[in-house]
Amino acid sequence: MRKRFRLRIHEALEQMYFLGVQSLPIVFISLGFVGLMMILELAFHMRLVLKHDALVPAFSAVLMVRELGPVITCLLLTSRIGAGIAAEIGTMKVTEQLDALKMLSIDPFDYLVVPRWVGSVFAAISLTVVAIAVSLWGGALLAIQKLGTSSGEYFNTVFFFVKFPDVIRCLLKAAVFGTLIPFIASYQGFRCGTGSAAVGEAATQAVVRSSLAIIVADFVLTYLFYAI
Amino acid sequence: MPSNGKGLPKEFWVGILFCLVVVLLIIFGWVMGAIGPLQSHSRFYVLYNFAGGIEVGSPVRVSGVKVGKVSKIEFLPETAETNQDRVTLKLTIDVSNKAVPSVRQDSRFYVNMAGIIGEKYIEISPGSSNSPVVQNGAVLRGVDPPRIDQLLSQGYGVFGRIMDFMDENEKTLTEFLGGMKELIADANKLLKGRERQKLITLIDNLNAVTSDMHDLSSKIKNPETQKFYDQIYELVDRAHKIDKPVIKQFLQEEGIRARIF
Repeated sequence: MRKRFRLRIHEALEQMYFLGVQSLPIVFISLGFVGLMMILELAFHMRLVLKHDALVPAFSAVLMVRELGPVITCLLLTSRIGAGIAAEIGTMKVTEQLDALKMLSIDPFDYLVVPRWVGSVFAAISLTVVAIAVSLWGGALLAIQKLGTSSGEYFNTVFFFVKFPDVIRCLLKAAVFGTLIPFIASYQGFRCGTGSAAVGEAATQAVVRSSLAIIVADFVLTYLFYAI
Repeated sequence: MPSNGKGLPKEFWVGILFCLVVVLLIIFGWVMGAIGPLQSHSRFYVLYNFAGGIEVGSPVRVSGVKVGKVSKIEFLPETAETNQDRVTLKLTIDVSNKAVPSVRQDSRFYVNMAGIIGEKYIEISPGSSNSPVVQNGAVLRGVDPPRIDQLLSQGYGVFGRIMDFMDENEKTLTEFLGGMKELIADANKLLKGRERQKLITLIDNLNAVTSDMHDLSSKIKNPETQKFYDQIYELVDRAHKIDKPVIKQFLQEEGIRARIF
């Protein structure tokens, strides 16, 4: 009979630090520039079609909160940690460290997957919130400079269209994506073949499949949240 | 205790990130109106027949300043009535206490539209100073927005009937328009041809006749003329009374013998 699920706090904190805190700079820089790019691109499109750019902040914020915030953050997270998790577990399997854990009566799932899952969900949610904030403030700076919008007008327009339930749904998406990444990556690591080439293949597959899973899950969740 | 190698433990940085996220979520909740622990508000219920696109979360403004939001929309049973008219919707609105003194019993609750894509909001017009301030929990009647769809529908109906009439009477209308066209062409020829001078003379004569009639009418209205006519009327009246017996009596009194036919 399988023993009870056990959370190893120390390992979980290690993963929270590695996956969350250490991913902060890349998310900060990437999403900041995504926010800037969206302001420029939407301003171009709205001027082209509507001859007006007053709603650029609102549309960019809605798109960021509902879609791009969690998706881009978690795709970045996948590229950073998915391969790492698969390679780490794959190497442990190739070097028979997984067998050693089992001999020591340590469940590899509890020891390797659960802390990464906790860390990944924490990182996905935290980084998504930070990403949205960074992109909104980055967008505000550019909109004030480039579009001539005042800061009050920018945030007033943004928060007229973006509602708090959208933020909650965004965090739910992040939590789901944060769950998919370590489970898919760990699965690829556990089913890794023998040899260093197999470890590399497992790492690649982990990133590819996690990315695909995130995009498909994003569609499903968006459909469930907004289309039904 | 695990460390990042720079003296500070990893738990510290994880805690910092967690606190940052919590603070950001509180800020988001605050500015999006989901939470407001330090902001007190009053709740009113506004009744409408037609909400005109208002949704839960739509802003409420007093004198154009955002002071609250629509927190709930309920469908009322068909029997619900206020004063004379039947209502179908009850909107629950939360208004900041700062703005409540401006909301009076005679305030009007309009459904307005702002922005280029027409986001809807409730505009409360400030009431008169001698009207009492609306109390928390009050039920008020809103001003129903105009039903543009109904107006369009009625417009389509009228337009459809015009089209039907034109289809049914196409031949008659064609003949009528043809006749009008000929009439206009004839009139045009008349005005531009050899008869033009005659028409001008005719119009001049009519002008002269009208002018003479006007002068005559003015003279008749003169007091002296009126006196003259009164005298003639009196004379005619007296002459009317002179019949055969009166003449006979007169002649007899004068001693004249005459045969009167």
